[in-house]
Amino acid sequence: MFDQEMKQNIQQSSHPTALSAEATGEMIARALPDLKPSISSAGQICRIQVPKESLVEVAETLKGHPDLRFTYFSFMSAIDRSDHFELVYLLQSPTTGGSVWLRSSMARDGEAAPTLTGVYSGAGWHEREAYDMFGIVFEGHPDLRTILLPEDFQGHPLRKDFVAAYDFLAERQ
Amino acid sequence: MTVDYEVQEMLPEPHEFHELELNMGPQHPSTHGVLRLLLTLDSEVILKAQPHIGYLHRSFEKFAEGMTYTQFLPYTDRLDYVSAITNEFGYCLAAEKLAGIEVPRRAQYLRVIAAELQRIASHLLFVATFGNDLAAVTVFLYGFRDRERVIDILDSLSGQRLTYHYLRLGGVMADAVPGLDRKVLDLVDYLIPRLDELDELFTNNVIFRRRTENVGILTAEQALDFGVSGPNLRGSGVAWDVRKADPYSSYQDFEFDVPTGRQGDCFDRYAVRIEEMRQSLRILKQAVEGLPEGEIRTKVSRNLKPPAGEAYAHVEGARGDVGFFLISDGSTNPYRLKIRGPSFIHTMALETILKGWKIADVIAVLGSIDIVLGEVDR
Amino acid sequence: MTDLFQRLWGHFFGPKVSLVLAYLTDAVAILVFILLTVMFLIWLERKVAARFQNRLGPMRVGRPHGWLQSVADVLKLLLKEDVIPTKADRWVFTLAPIVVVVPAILIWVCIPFSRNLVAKDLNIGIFYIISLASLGVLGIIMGGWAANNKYTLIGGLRSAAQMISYEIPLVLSVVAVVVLAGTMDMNGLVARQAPYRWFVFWVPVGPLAFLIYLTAAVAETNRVPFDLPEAESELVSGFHTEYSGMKFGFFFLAEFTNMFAVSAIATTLFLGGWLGPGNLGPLWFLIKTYAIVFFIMWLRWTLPRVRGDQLMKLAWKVLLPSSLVVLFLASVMVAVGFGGARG
Repeated sequence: MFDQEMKQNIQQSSHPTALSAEATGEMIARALPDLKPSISSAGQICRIQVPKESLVEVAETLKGHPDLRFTYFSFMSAIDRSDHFELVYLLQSPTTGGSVWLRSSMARDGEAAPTLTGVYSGAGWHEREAYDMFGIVFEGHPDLRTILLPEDFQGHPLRKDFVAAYDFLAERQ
Repeated sequence: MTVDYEVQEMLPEPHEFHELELNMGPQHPSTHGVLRLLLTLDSEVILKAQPHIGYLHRSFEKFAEGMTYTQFLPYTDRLDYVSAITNEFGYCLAAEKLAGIEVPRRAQYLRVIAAELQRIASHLLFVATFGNDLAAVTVFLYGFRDRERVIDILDSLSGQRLTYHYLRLGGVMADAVPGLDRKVLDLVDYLIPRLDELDELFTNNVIFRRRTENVGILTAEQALDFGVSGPNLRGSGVAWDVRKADPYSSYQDFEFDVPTGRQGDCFDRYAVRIEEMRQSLRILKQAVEGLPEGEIRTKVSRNLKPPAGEAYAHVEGARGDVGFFLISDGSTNPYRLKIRGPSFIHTMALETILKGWKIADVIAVLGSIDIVLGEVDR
Repeated sequence: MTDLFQRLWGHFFGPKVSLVLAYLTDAVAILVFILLTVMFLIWLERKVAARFQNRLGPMRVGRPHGWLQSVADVLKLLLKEDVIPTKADRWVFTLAPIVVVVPAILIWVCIPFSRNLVAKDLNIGIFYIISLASLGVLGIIMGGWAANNKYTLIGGLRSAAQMISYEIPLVLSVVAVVVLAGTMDMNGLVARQAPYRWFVFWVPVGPLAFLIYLTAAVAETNRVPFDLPEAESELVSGFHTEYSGMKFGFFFLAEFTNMFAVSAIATTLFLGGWLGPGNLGPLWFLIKTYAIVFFIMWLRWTLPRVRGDQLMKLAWKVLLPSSLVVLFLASVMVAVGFGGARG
């Protein structure tokens, strides 16, 4: 009896395969012509550069659009590009198989970024980690506090100007 | 007889009379690592479950910026230390994408063999610890006995039992030992009846069923919203397996099914993993019988300098979708490495899953989510 | 057994003194028997567990097969530091293990190893046993409370709730057998089953009552699958967390004594006690009792743990109504002429 149930649970591969970056770009361009998706040089990453103020709006549209359905929030992170920060979001669609990268720039100090937790619950901890590691404040985040480092840790380690002790000692030698 | 303490001290604050805050961990036999769960309870019901992590944070992403691509490779083993090969896999694929390195077919097949063996070993450990948490102690020992057989084969391939460092940039470290196909086929013959025995003893046990069915339900929308992947996502009914969706390293050559659950309860997640083990055995058989001849590694300089750019590679690990986002600035060290650890996201989802269930269900849910703190904290 | 000792002492002392000495010897004999049995049972549990888990168990301490392991464990417990938490209630803390152990030992006064080997064959034998078994719960509550620790308090209360819930089906199934037998005397119960009409074969009451009794008994002794109060892998570690050394040893002793006692009662009530071919009463008694002990251990190493609310549901919604039905059936059986007191 139980074995029957288990056997029924195995689905044959009515399984979406991933769209290539070009196909994803075309699909997005057709649905939302205002966004200009660009394909990276190696032809494998489809990215959309968005000003940080419209991040939430663009994410909502990508999630809710009936042809796109980017409902899967893979991850979010930040990159320290020496003179500015770059926010990176990876969204995927289990229905169409497409994946798109949202990229946004912001200043290193003084600026806050909008939170995406209203659109995707999965943004919560990733934004906390970005806050912890880079010092980026996300406005509207329900629970912005350190996640990986202790509360009394000083500094933000993944910034390029944060010199870790072992690097410092290695340089001295 | 004098009583020198107040009874009131033992009760919670008067204005929150019905709420009790209980701390689970970071040292606890069932949290599978150093995880701290702060539970707010109303008698037995969980009102709020807040995971606190960071006890195993080792700043791998910062390390990556300070060493070469080859030097960082052993560190990837230590991320999800229970399923080490898959981390190496993701990192190697990302670095190879970045530098435009082609991996020979024989190496691709060997990687697949190692990855599927690792998946079986990891799922056996899951079953063992799940049983142990639910007080079926014998399952723990049976799981580890079978895991020994799998690890023996991986040991013969790489010389290690837990953190293998078997995959290298451009291929694998060492060729298949003579008789590997015999060993793998023997393992397949050995494990299939063992999995059936496990079904009889444990999966179909009424008490186990009652404890895991309809408990800790994660709906498909919630799962997608959080970014849950792997057997947890498939347990909720979403058929999404990176090996099928985005095939890498010759996975398209193999025939296998992707099991899914129905409602996303603990039992579904458990059953999906058991079925996945059977499918992995299928893949292993095909891989080992169809192993092509050729090189096992493309020559890659030790101080690899990939051109400036970025690459993302993800693999289907035992726990979920393990992703590596590498950015290069043309030097020998990565400019930025972001590791997408599925257990990090699953721990985040724990807060939503646990709300409304009872204390005793915490153990079943934690066990069925199958997190490894190495991946959570990095 | 008492008159045996009385005759022995009578060689040296007068009748009254030798009676008192006989009673004392009884007590010492029971205590020694229990202590030795528990030590053997602990070793047995470890061996049985090991064999179920595809390994060997204790092998070193006392080659071969580690039969001195229990001795080593007892010595270890005796030598451990006796820790009492600062804010604990010292008296209650110290008394709790005693309140748990003493009833467990007192039960053995009435259990017949053979027709003559029983310390005191009370005519309310089984009633005496059941009353004492209820006292152990007090000790558990005391232990959970006295340590001044909210986790042990919760553990102790859950344990108490579990034990009280399962007492009712336990008692009712025993009462069903008493109704069938028409006597509460332990030796009388055994005699009623002579020569091979064990109560477990008295369909429909026998097997049903046996099942209910066994389930309730496993729950009473806090064994898996009902070991929620002691679950180390659950949230609350149980009422005996703060205990160390011999106080903990007492709780351990009580658990194994209870397990053995419960099996012995099952043997007496359902499996014909010391009845068997030849004049080997005690041997048959031990064989049957150890068979049930082995079964209880088998359960522990095979089944997962039942959740708290499922445990209570089982007691109140399944076992209690079943045991009432069994009791009713037993009365019906007596009314139509099977069983009942005979002259």
